[in-house]
Amino acid sequence: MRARELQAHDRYQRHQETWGDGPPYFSEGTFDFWQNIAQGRFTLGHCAACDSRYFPPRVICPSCWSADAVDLVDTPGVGTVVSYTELHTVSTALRPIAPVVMVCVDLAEKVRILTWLLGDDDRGSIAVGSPCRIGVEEVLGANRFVARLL
Amino acid sequence: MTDVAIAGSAVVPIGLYAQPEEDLIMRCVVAAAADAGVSRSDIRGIIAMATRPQSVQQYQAAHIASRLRLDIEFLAELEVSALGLCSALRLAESVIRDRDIPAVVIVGASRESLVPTVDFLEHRTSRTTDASFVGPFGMAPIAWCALGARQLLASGEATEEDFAAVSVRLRRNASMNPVAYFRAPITAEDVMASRMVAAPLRLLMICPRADGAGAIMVVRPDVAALRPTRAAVHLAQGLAHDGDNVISEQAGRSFCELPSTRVAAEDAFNRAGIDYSDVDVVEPWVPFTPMEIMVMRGLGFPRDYWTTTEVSPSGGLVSRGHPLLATGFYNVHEVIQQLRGEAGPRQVDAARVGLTVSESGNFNGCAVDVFGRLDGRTAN
Ligand SMILES: [Zn+2]
Repeated sequence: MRARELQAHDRYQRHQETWGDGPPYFSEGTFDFWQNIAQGRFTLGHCAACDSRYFPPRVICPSCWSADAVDLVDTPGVGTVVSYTELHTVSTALRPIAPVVMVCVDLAEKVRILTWLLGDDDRGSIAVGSPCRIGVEEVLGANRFVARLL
Repeated sequence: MTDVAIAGSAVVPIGLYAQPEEDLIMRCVVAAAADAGVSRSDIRGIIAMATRPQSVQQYQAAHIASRLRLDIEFLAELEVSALGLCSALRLAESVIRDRDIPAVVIVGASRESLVPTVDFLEHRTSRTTDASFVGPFGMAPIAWCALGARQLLASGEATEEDFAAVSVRLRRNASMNPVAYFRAPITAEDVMASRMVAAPLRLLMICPRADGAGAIMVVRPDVAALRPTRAAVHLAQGLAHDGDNVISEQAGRSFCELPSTRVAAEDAFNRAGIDYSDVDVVEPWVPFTPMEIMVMRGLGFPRDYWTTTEVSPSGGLVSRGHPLLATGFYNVHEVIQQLRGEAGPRQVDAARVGLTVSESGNFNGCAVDVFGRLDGRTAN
């Protein structure tokens, strides 16, 4: 545990260098995920012990409770829109991109992602059931995982 | 029937207050004691809803006990948002039984007007769901309700006109409630012409963030027995949780079906030995009008529940106003007025059984509390 915490201390500092005070906030279970996002790569949690996929990543596998068995895997990011809303009243931080379209997407891997839909042309054509893809793009000065309609 | 009962209840009109929480709470405690017919020395315990971060005075339970010179042996503060009052009722009941004390007062106040909505979104709601993976995208109660409302529309389970009709009904009810915040009647055209806030939710489908306070006096059976027509018995509490925190991690789950509501309702009805047809009045924790449709159908009431069951005669959160940690007091207060037959022009005929329905998250957690009169009779 002591070695683990020493590693966490080092990673916490690297997370701060990349993401400042957050969000996203530091966790041992998500450190590599956010480093991947910073490099433009969207990954899912995968358990090296029981082979299940889950999202978000975490230090304990939600299926088999193995500790520190997260093994991030690439995904095509293809899924469907489960629901969506256009938010006109938002926090100060989101004002430059308001109104924002929030979407909930179920990926083919059976995990659920909450994010924004990008693409002004898509605002009018989005519907429950629309096929879409999750990818990494820069929004508000940082890389984020976001959705676009297919 | 003799049991621990709620003998007194008091609230202040919902509004925008310059008076701090302690002023509002002290007024409510004194009014609830008078309403219950208990003296200061009867009150041997106090349970407070933990104060909101924007409030100056913290540790409100100890503060109020000192200010009112209560002689207490039990003190607690609770916050689980909407479920806080449900837990407080159960705690008060068990403390009265365990310690054989005459009365425990439960208090709560919330001044939402101290925090502008944009700051509320930035600093609180963005961190009540996952603070890294969900909140930063603008997640808030209004957003998760909008996601559910969108699914209702897409599946043909409801129309925008259905949402507007709920707003109109709640406002009509509130027009008869002296403690409600919005009391001027509105039309469906007014609702549909109001500005879009979180599509498909329009301004007049949304609760106003406002200030309020309440106190509930829970008493020992012998104290309650002195006022059999005014004391309300907490007949049962049904509880359920679906395991999610607003946004499910698992694909395929619905935003609008709210499965915990049905489980909690059946749990409550089984414990109370009642059925849907026994319910005369429901006061649900519903901050947005589409959610009333989701919750009432989710609980297991008919699709056109409004034709058979009186829902939110007080005006509900959308018209009565929503002082977050005090809202539960207003729901219980209305049920008690209805059971006593003291709800004036809002009075439901022959009310005998009333429900409050409370949530945590997007009704991930649900509590259904069943109340009846101590004498088992009907109001009027
Ligand atoms: Zn596993």
